[in-house]
Amino acid sequence: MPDIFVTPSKSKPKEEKINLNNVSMPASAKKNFGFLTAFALRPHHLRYESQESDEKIVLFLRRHFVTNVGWIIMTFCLAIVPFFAFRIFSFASIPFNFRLMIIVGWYLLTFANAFERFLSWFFNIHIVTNERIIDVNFPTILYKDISECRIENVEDLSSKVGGFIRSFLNYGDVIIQTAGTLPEISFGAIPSPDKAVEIINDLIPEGIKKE
Amino acid sequence: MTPFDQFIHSLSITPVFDFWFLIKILFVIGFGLYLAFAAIVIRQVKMMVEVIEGLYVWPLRLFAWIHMGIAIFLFLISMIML
Repeated sequence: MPDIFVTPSKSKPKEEKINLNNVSMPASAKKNFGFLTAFALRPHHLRYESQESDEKIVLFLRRHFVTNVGWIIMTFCLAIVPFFAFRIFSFASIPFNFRLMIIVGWYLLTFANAFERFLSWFFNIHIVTNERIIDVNFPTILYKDISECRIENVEDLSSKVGGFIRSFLNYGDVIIQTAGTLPEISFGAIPSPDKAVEIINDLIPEGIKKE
Repeated sequence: MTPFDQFIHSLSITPVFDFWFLIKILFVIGFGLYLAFAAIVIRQVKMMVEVIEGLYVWPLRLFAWIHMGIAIFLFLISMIML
């Protein structure tokens, strides 16, 4: 039987190779990767848990360290409370051993709060690879929230820097609109957000970039 | 004596129950809960480290284990000393 209709064959679109050499390298990213690094370009020694063999981490981001100043000051204030409390109030009626345990418990709770806050800052990271954008978030103890999207699904990129301190220290937010099930990924309070946008934009394949 | 001291004194001399023994029980329970929290912190650090390899995490692991040791020590001390 003769064919009535034959679907015209469409040639597969060329797979756009993401050229890492196109990724511009700002001066701030040339520093060595340290314990408190919040912005790192091409950290070769890092490896994400589900990283594929040909996938490379291009950008590693955390919140700017200055976002920790609030809880650091609060920790310092909590640490000096016992000195003032024992000068102002009389705790003579409480036996010495109980007084000691109260003070020890106070410092234990203060340390626990500071340690948790630091862990939250340290491990809430954003990773941009040549294939994906990954947002790792630990909102509470033992709760892991990881959001990912493919670079090809990035629809729109924007950066926001507002306020005196943010403008002075050059840190702000990057909002990434995506075409996938996750409508938006945001990187909050990261250093050099404009550079991060530039780098992510460089990673988007040319054929997919929209004017 | 301040009003607070008078209040504490009145509680400690009551014949109904041993006030300071009750406080000791509360302290022991509190330090026991803190011990559980310290164990959770160790688990939390382990879980976080599994997400990304290559970060300088040994200070955090060390702090978490020292924290656990201190929590165990204080739990035992609270049972003995109070």
